[in-house]
Amino acid sequence: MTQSHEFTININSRPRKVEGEYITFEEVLKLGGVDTTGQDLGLYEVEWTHGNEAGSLTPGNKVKLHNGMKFDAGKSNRS
Amino acid sequence: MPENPTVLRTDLQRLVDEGYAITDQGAYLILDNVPYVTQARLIERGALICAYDEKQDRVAGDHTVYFTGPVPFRDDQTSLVPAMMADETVQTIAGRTVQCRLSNKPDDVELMLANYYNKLTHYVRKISSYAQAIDPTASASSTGSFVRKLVPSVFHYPNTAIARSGLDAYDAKLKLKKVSIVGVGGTGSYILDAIAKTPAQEIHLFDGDTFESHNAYRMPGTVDMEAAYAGRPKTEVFAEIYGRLRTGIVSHPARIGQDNLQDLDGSDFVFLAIDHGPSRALIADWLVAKGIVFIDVGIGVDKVPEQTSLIGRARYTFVQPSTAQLAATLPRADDSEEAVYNNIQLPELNALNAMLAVIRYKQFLGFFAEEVRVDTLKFVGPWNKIIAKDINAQDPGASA
Repeated sequence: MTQSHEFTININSRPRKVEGEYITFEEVLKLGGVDTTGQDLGLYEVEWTHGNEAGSLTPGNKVKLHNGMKFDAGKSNRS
Repeated sequence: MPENPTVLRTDLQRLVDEGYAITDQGAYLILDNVPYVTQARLIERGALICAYDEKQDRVAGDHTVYFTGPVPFRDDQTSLVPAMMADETVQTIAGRTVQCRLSNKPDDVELMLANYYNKLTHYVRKISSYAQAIDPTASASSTGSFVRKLVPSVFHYPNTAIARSGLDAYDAKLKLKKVSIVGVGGTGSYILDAIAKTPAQEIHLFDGDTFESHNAYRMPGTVDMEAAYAGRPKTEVFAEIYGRLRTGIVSHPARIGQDNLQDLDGSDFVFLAIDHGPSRALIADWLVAKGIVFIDVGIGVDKVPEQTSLIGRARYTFVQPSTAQLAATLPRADDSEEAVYNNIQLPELNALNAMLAVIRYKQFLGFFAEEVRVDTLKFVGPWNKIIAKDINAQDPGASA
């Protein structure tokens, strides 16, 4: 079993320390300072990148943490 | 009554007077019947074609010409390739098949480019002199004629940018019958700017908003103060601006709702550039049901107050009948209440979002090559990274 330990990541250009070994879509939004009060979570998107890898998260999903991982969380619905 | 009410410009008149067969074909000028020597030392006839803009005395474009024959030979059977070959790309220019582009600079290039007489007779001399060395009667000049071929075009003046780069066969792929742009705000207006410059026959604009002063800061170009405060429908303002360039811009000063969804029917392609989630859902579902291909765009800007800086992102979602399931992933919820006090938009992100979508559109039409399939794309500002996804590929991040 992998021990749960602290990872240093970036969410929305802010450094954050989180306990491993996974992080959920909802935790990313919360730690990213995104106020989702009264909002439909379907409006938000979470992208992550780490080295050459990249991916996205949707509500209810999680991703394995790595040190130095970067997350972008927010909407993209304005024109 | 003069037989031809249009007085020919002097350089073309001089070509006709000297017996050349000239055709004005929209953005091109063609000089037919030019004798040249083939590799087998036979005399054949070919046509010189060059980019043309009747509004300018000076030659549009550079000193090169297209030629319908192969690169000619001299009478001593040496090739003119080293002397005047620019390239040997076989392509369609002005509806003719050309086999090469010739390039031969005289000492005084400016004089050559001063008018079409100078430019075309330069090449006639260079090519025909070798034919005349074999047969002194071989000449490009005979009775002289001028034909103006009316090329149907949506533009008020020819697109010489396409003509001078020989892109007509490519540009023809963009000749759609009906393209619709739903929402002509920041992103929609930049989409319009790019689509207006393609030969799409009709461009339908849908927007229920009136033009306000802040719109002038989120559009290509700008408007004067009077227009900024005139309170006219946005679609009318943009139809008027782009009506200076072309015909076929249709203004629909209405928000798309249940009652007018059918106005989108018959669209070959739709750009969805709106904020309101429920409208996006309504329209997306309608387009999917109708099998109409569309691209949904959207930007997002968030403040990082402790750094006084912004995070920007720009997304598109490209939906075809084969990827209809993507319509369900669009931002469909209503957050217009939040949008009142938290709707940051910046023209650089609007423009980038629009251009990324327009490039995808042109790829879909085969104008741009597409090696790696992309269904959704997002530019993430702080990472300077574009994340492009093919929905059929495995997403490494989607571990449940």
